[in-house]
Amino acid sequence: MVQWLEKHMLPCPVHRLTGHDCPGCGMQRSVIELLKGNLWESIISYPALIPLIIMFIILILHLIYDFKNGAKILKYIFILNAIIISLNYLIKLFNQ
Amino acid sequence: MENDENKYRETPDQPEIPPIPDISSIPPLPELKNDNNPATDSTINKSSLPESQEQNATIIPPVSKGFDESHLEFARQQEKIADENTGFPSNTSQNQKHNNNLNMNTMNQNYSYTQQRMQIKVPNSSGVLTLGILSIVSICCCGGLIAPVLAIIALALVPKAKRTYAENPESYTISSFNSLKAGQICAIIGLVLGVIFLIYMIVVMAMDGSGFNEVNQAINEAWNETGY
Repeated sequence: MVQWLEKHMLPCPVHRLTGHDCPGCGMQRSVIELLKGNLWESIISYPALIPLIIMFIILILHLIYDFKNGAKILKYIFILNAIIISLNYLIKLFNQ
Repeated sequence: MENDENKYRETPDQPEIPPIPDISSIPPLPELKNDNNPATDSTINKSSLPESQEQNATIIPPVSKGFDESHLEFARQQEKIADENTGFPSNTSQNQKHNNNLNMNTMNQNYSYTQQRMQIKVPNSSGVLTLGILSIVSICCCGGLIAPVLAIIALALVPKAKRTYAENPESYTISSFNSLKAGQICAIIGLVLGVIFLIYMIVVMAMDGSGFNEVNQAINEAWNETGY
């Protein structure tokens, strides 16, 4: 299954139009690396993936079970994710 | 309204509802005799009885006139118990103690009602939260074009939900209101980042090719000058 995913990766429309990276570039590679089990390569290619996955899990749990502090946790993790994504994108831009 | 006068004699303005006391601290209520005999019903005004019944009536007069000492004794005991229990408001006159005992039934019902009342979620709170979080995920996945759209939809749902919460805060769960606030913040951040990225994309597309390289070189030179 992982090999099927490797062969059929979705193209990024931004990359096709301009040739430059979008803020989500590298996420597919990161997912594949995570499925293979290489944690460090996954973090290098897209650092914000694991916090995003954690955020999604907490969101689904909060919607089902309605934690008392769930909204607060989500807020902070969201801000963390936004910072990681934007920093990652800026660093990629400058390193071209 | 003489009927009301018999029930609520010299009542002051109703004080604020005190904090909910323990069930064990509530003194037992007096048994109200209600044997459907209008003669013994103290809440009925004397003059409302027809004449035929009035002759046979053995009416227990109201407490304020002081005819029935046992009522006064009971009221005094209840006053002592009520003073020990700090939860209830303490009225001064003993009539009000007796009337308070009559009122206590309804007050207890009010307390148990609020304890059992079901709180519902603020409408659209979970929707706002998911839309706010999806807006930043869409920057990563779909190229940042739909991120401002999702964020604007989330922000459009917020004011009405906040208004419905403000009208009646007690009937909505607090956690759903927190979700609403968190979703609003997420949507605002997603909107700002989405708009910035959109503007950047438009600038890049406008200066297709050569122009962009010059801008990039200028930025790189400025960065290198800082010696980082």
